[in-house]
Amino acid sequence: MKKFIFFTPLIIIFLILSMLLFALLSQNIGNKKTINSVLLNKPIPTKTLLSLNLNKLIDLEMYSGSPFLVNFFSSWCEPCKLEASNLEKLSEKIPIIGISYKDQKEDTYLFLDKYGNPYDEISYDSDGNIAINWGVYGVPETFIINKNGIIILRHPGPITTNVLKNEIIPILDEINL
Amino acid sequence: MNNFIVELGHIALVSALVLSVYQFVIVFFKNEKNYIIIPNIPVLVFSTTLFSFLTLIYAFLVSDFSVDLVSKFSHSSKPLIYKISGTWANHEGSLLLWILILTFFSAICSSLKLPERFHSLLSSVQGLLNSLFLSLCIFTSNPFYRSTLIPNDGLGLNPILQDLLLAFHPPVLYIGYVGLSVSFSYAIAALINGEIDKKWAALIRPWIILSWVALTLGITLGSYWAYYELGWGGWWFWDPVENAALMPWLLATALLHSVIVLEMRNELKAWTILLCILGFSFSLLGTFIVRSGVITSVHSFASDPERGLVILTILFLSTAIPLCIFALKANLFHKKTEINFFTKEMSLIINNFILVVSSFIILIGTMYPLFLEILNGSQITVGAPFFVASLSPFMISTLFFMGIGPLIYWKKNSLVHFIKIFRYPLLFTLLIFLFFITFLNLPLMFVVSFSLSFWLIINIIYLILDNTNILTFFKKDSKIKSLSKYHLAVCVAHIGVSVFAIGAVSENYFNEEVIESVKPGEKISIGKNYLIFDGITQKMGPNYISEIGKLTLLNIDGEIITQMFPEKRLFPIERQSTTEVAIHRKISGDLYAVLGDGDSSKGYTLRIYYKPLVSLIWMGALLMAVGGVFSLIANYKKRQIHQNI
Amino acid sequence: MRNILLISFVLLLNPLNVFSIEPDEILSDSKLENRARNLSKGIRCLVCQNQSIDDSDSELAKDLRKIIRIKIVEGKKDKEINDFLVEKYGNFILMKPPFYSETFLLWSSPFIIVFIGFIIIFFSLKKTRSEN
Repeated sequence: MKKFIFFTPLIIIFLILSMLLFALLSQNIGNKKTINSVLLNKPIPTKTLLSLNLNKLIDLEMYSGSPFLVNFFSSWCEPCKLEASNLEKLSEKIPIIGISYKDQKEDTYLFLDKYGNPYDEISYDSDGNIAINWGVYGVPETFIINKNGIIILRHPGPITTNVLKNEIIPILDEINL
Repeated sequence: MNNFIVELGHIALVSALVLSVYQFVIVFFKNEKNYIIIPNIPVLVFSTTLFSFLTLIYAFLVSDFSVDLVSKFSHSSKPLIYKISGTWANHEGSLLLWILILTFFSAICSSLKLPERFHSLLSSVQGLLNSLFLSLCIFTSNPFYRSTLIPNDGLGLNPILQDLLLAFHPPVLYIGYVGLSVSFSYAIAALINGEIDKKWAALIRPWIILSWVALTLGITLGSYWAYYELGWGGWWFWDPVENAALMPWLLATALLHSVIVLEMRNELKAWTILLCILGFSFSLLGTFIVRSGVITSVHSFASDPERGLVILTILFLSTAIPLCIFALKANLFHKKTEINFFTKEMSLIINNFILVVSSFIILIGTMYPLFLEILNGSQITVGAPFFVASLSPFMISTLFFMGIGPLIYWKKNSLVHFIKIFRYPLLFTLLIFLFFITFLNLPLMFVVSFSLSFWLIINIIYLILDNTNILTFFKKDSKIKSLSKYHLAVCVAHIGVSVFAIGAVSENYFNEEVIESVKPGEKISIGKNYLIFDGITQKMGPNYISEIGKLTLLNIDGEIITQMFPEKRLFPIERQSTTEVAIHRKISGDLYAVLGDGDSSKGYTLRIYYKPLVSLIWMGALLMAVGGVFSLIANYKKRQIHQNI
Repeated sequence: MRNILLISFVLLLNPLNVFSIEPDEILSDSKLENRARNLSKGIRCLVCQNQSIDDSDSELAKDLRKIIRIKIVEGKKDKEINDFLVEKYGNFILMKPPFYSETFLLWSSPFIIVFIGFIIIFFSLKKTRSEN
């Protein structure tokens, strides 16, 4: 028993070092700098949005029955420009609702003119409250919603070709698109 | 020409590695000949490292952008002092600085007079450490790598880091960390040698004190810098990297006191050795946290998993293996200790326990988010509220025992004596506590902390009075004698803790803040005084453009107390801006002014803080360090006397 | 190049050197404002490294502070506001980790360590039978 006490520091340190090694080797910890979404597998937090160009309401309930995407973007965001073409490709398979985050309307229009408009409908979030409601912490962020109105994927950051191929398409295939 | 010098530096570094490997292995081939005399290997290792380091400074000084490090972290327009300090304001350079200090200490150790077998083991362990770190540097973090494309000018140094105090922060802190590596090597050498006794304790003690003083100063510098530079008036954020420096400090404090017990009573052998090993491990752990990117923090250098892996390997080798040796050599520590309750040893043990427990709580708090995420992917934050809540009881208890320790005796066990000494201090402290609680109606935590700081001060005063015979002055023919150097050190250091505690809790509980948007001519009230905003002027600095606000501080009668000039600086090359806070310092409290955004038509945002007694934080910490220095002097004098006998 | 895209998308990153609460955010009722400040101090700025939204000047921090004030004025209690933020961002957003099954080890660690320490000390010391 007494001798065992002398081994306890070794055991404790060994456990700590193993944990650090694991953290270092795994791609998913710490350095990844993304925050997991707690809204996964929950229903969408907003049902109606104000439309950008016409003073009408976008009723997200109308989109239930089949899957759709929600994408937060802005004209001042560099990575948003990068994902524009991939969003264009996606928009052929699935409707995308765009939410312009903290932007001027004119700038949003210019952005869409320049980089293409993949959106079925566009809304705007001038004070950032819609973003907070969706647990968004930066732009761009994209959500995949299934036909029952449940969020099944949240991707922070641009939809790069890699992300498109390895994350988005598989999910869409799963829900049969 | 530049190229040649820098290449020489690189060669010197590689030579240092070769020599340090030799330093490590030579003990295995040792015969009767004393290796230290011809040639003095550790000194050579240091000399080559020094030369290497100087060439790196040279590269920064002349802005040699063919060196990748210089092009990434320097710029020709940087002020000279920051060109020099920029050498170690990055991962590779700071690692070389660490190695420089490491090899320096190993060179010093080689020229000390020590028992021969122990000395050669010591040198070997240090040689191994030198080799490991030099390898880490040369193979994964080589400061002499060349740029693939030589730019016309560099990227510049982060303006926040262009600060004199911060330039000293790494060297001082590293002296602390590396000092802990010395006590580590003393411990390993002693374990292998098989002799851990009072003599060994006397040898290692100065190194421990030195590390402790350096760590205290290093942490204080960093904290003080954060206070005046970052602009929020905070001085400690429980950020992982700050915690990484605090843990070794706590362990070093524990070690400092545990080695005293070892030297005086030949007890706590296993514990002292363990602390030597853990102290160094925790400083390496800190290194790992800052440089590997596994835990995100404000302080992190650019993170690199490959470096993290090598550091982790070093951490493993220098922790797991010594702990194995420690466990295997348990027979050295077989004696069951006899320690009575109301003795000095006991109070030192209790405080040791408190310090080490605190250290582990900080470790757990810092690592828990990582642990949880690995376990099941959950993400949580363990922020300041956790650390404050869990550590407060321990910090407060430690104040209590600090008051007791110096006043009671070694070995003897007496409750009666105990009551006799402490009855009046206890009484006074209790009175203060009740007074504050009932009549001044202050928050409980504040009153408890303050009362215990007061308790500590009372006991220190009692110690001084008792040891100088002032108390018995009127009896018979007792003469006043001066306080021994050792007691002086204890008193100064412990008063430092008390002063620090009072400053910390006062700032925490009585901090006032005012945020207003003002146009020139308008005034802001803070406390009983008020500030008049006189407007903004613009100025060009050596590598920045600044907006300087002018504030005139007036007291309640309208008399001018002082003028304050908070500033905002824009560094065009680095494309960053910094705030230069204006602080009006008085012991009773700091007035702290920060200039925000705005213009002359809409007004400027000004944030004003009043922080009562905040200077006591830095003063207390400085006193602690001074106490440590006194202790070093006392220790030196004592050894001189022993050597002369 | 590694993760630059991911990092740069978080454009709201705090440059560590400017301001946080703006004068126009401050509520006129000082009691409510104090509540807002205290709540903010307990909420983590998600795009900064280890700061509360009270200390940060990033856009997200500002928005979160505003939402807190709006909800306070609406009459929501502190717990409701914290719960709302946790519902949207998870426990990660709280500076003080809540006490539940996953953090049990964390919060009980001081007690566990002290307990283990006592055991070790007890086995290592031998008390004398008489006190003099």
